[in-house]
Amino acid sequence: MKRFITLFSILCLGCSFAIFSSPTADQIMEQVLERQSSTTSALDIKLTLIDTSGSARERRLQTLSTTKDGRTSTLTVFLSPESVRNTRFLSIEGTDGNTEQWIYLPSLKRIRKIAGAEEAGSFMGSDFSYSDMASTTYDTGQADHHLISEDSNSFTVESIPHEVKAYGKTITVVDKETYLPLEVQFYEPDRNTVVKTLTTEAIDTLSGRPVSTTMVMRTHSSSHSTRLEILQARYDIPLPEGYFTTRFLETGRL
Amino acid sequence: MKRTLAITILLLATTARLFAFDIFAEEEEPKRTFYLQQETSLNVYRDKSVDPGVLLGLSVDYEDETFRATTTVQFDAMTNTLSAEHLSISLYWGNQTLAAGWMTHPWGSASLSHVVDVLNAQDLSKGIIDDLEAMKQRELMLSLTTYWDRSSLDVVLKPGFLPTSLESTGRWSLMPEQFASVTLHEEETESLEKFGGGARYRIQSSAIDLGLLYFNGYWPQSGYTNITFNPSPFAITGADTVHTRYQLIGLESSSLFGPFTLALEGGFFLSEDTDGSDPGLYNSKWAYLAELSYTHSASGTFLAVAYQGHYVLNFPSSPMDVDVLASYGGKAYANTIIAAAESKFFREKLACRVAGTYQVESTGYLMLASATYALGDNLSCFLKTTWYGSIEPKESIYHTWDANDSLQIGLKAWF
Repeated sequence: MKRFITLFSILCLGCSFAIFSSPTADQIMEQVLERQSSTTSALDIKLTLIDTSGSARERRLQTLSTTKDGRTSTLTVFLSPESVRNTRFLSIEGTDGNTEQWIYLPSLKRIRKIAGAEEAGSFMGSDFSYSDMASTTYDTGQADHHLISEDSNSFTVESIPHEVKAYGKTITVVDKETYLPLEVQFYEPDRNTVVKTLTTEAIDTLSGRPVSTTMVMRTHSSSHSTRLEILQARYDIPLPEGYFTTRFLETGRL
Repeated sequence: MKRTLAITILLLATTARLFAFDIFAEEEEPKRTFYLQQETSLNVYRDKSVDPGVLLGLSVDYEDETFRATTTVQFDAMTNTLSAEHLSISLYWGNQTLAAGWMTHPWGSASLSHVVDVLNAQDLSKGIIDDLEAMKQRELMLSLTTYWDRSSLDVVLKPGFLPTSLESTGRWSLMPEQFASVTLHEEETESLEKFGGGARYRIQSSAIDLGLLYFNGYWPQSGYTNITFNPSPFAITGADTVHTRYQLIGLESSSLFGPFTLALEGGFFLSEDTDGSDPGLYNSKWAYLAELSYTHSASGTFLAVAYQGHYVLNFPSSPMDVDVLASYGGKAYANTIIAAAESKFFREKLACRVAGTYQVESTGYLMLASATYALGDNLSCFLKTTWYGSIEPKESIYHTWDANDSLQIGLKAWF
């Protein structure tokens, strides 16, 4: 009986640790990705490029993406400015791990197969790179995560990527309630200098899930910034495969 | 009950249908889009003449799930002319698209030039600009495209055709010296007798995008027949224009090698004048193009270099044969090198383009450069320069237009 009580006490103690102790950095970052993942998504996005003088230019785009058997296809339709209106971009991840990409340029009336965009390249002249548009955090297989501080509202996690491509490290402040990134600092490959800072300015509930609807990416060296607003979003909805075809690129029809 | 209702509303909101031409539209309603573009410019030529330009473009799209009607017209305020740039209706059903109207239909896989993009003739009445599509003449045509998973077939029919648009007088005239004072009787080309048609089958694989083409139609440049002349002093006084029917069997392809794209176009133009005996008709020929382009994805800089050539079979010796008149330096072959670069700066506010063409046999060259600066989302200013010339004084389009070097500045607005 005494043995049973001891065992029960140890189990209870163990459970209380599990219940009340902080999650690990890996668990936090897994949650960050998990909360933002979906099998399909449709986003209506406005990018506002803000110069140091405060002058602003807008870009509008809509993206559709679907993930099937671990492979993601993405369609992006550019709505403005006029110079890129109706430009459509299709990316399909193949079974061999390679990604095929096509672009339809209305001025040329042609589809062109193109090489993959470099992750560090600027997306539409904004402060977001192509890799930032895909994700601003790393999953556990891509980086070593360390919990460096915690307060009543947030976790602060340092992530050092296994392979340095665009950044040497990131420091992410994660909201404890929603597990959305409130702020991300992106460092140079030398891990000493902050290149850019992403700040979440608004969180809203779209399609029944919390979403960072307004984010601002600031480039420190130039002091210009880009505001990304998600105007509309739908997640885990049925998306016809016809969207992810070169026919849709050419005709804009399913 | 309240909870069930809330869940139902949420499900309806999250699973609402997306639409093709307006993804987030609340419901599939017909959509009309108006779009105006105004361009004001000043073109200064090397001979110090000034050519102001004021253009107003209007585009209207009307579309619903099954069709799209597109109208684009342009008004030139300086010449007081209204021209139809694009008038077409496209129908969509199943995996097919049927388009008909006053339009262009592009073939070819390269960026800088094409040898198999034969469906629309060029407009050379205002010189050469750095936009191949804008230099095309719109024509009455019908296209039916059927799409499959990784392939498509487009069939095109043209009831008649428009020849290459050339000026017979003035700055952009390309009339041969022998025909300077000739009375020309233009052949009727917009009739069913001059129909043309063809098809292209495209297939995509991870290694290569390949297209096979066939076209039966007319060569857009005219030849000359029934030439009358005054024997003393010798001068040509009259001629009828005539166009050559030909069949094109060709291919287009593009392949990626890392950041490089290799585009190939080529084909055999089988003339109705198979043995090359008629001096008024163009002979059969081979035409080929290879283009290597590179995109620096971090900066978006685009670089490309292309080689284009042709070889005319049974090349004649008579100086009055159209193949000789159209040749560079009286040779059966022609070789042209083209290069271009485009880059954007200041967060895509400034776009710079340069392009150059060198025609080997005639030593003729063309240089185009432009800079466009976005003053706002709907307003940009631009500066364009064009140089024509030749290293040696040999006949070519570039040599003929040697005095037409120009500098153009202007503003363009969209609203």
